[in-house]
Amino acid sequence: METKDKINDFLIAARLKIGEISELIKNNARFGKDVQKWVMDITDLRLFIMAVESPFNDWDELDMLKRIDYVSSRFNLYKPVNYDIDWLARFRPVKTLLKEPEITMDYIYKNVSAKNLIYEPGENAKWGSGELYINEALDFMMGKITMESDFLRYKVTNQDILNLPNQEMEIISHPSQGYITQVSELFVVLNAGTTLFNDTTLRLYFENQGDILHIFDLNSAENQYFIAVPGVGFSALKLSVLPGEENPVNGTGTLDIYYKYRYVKLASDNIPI
Amino acid sequence: MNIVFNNDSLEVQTIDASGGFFQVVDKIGFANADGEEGFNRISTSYVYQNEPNPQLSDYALVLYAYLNRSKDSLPTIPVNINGENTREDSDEQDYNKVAFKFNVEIVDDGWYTIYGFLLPVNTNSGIYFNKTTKKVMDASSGDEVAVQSLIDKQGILSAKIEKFITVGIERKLYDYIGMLADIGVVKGYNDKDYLSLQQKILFIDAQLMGSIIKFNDGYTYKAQETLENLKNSFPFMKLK
Repeated sequence: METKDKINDFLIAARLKIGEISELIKNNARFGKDVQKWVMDITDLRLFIMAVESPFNDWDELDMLKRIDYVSSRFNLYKPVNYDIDWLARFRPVKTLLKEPEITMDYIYKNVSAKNLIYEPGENAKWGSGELYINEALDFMMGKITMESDFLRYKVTNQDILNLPNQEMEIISHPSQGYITQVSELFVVLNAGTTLFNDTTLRLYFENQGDILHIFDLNSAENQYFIAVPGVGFSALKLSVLPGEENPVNGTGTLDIYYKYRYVKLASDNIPI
Repeated sequence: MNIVFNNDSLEVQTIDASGGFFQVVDKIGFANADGEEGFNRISTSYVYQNEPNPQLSDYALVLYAYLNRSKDSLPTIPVNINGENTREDSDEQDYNKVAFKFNVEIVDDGWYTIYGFLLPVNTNSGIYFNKTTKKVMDASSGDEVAVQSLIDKQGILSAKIEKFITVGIERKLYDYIGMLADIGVVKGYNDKDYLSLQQKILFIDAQLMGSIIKFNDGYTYKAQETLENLKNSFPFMKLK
C-alpha cells in the first residue's frame, strides 16, 4: 500500500474512531463515570489527524508510516485487513498458533478456545463460533489455506551493526516443520543519519536449511528501502556485513526491517488427525 | 478610464510548505456585461484599431509587503517580494487567464500587510512604473515615489490585503506531535514524558487557534500579540 493510500485510510479511520469514542463518552458520562481517558484519547486523535493532514508537517515517509502505525495500533483503527483471502481476518485470533514451530491437533485443541478465537468483543463476535475457527485451523493443517503474519518490524541498532563483521545476525528464523515460510513483504529503511555505507556493504539474505537463496546488498546511503518480491520460501532471514578495504564499519545509524511472512502447509505432510 | 482595482483584486493563494514564502496572485480580469473583455467591470474596455484595450502590458502591478508588530515600539519589517510586475510578453487577451504572481518572503510568522498598486508603464503618466529600473516614478518631478506617499495619493489604483501567517509555529507543532507518537511507541501514552509533551502541544494549539480566530475577527493587534507571546514562550517550554 502506498503511503498516500495509508494516509487516506488513516484519516478516515481516525475520524470514525473519534465518533466512536464520543459515543462511549456520551453513554458513560450520563451515568457519572469517569470519561477523562476517552476525552484525552479524542484529543490525541485530533492532534494526530491535524498533523498528518497538514501540508506543513515536515515528516519524512518513514516518520509518517511509523506514526500512523502507532496511532492505528494504539486505537485499533482498522478492522482486520482482508488480504484478498477472507480467512485471514478471521484467523487473527489464533496468532499464537503461528508462532509454534510444530502445530498439532493437540495444540489446537489446547490453545484455541472460544475466548481467544473472537477477535474483538461486540460487532465482530458474529464472525463465528470457536468451532468455525477450529475448522479453519484444520483447513490450514490440511494445506487448503495459507496463513499470514502481521506486519512486523525488526530494529537493527548501531551496536548490532558494529558487531556484525564478526558474526551474522538472524532476523527471522523458522524451523519449517511441516510447512513452508514464505516472504510476503519486506522492506528496509535506513534511518536518518546513517553513515554506515562509506566503504562497507550490509547484506541481507534468505537462507533455506543453510542454502543462501536471495541476497540483497545495501551499499549506498541513498537506498532508503527496497521491497522483496514475495514468495521466497526460507527458513531464516539474516544480516551480515562485508567490510570495505579501507574503512571498517565505524559509522553511525540504524536500520528498520519491516516484514511480513506467510505459512504454507506442505500438502504431502502427514497430518495427525 | 475607469479601471477597478480594489482589495478583492489580490489574493493569497499558496503558502510554501517549507515556510519560505507565500504567493499573492491578482484577480484582475473578467468580461463586461456585454461580453466585451476589459480590465474591470465598468466602462473600462474599448476597442482601438480592432484591438481590445487597455492591454495587459499597459499596466504594471507593484506590490509591497510588511510584517507588522503588536507594539508601536517594534517597527514593521519590510519584506522582499519576487514576481513579475508587467505582462508585456503575454499574448493572452483574456485577462482571466493571465495573472501576476508574486512570492512574498516569510521572514517570520505574523501579520502581513500587502499593498498593491496598478500603475501605468507609460512614462508620460503622472505616476508610472519604470519597467527598466523597476521603480515607481513621478513623471513631473522625475523623482522616485516612496511607498507611503503612494498609499496616500489620490487617483492611484491601490489594494491592501492582510494575511496571518502561522506556518512556522504550525511546523513546530506538527514536529512535536510527531515526537508525541514516537514517545508513545517507546514509552507508552501514560508515561510522564508523553503527558508532558501532550500538555505543551495543547498549549501551543490553543494559543495558535485563539490568535487565528482573533485575526479573522479583525483584532489584528491582539492576534499578533498572542502569536508573539507564543513564540516567546517556546524557550521556556524546554521543548527539544
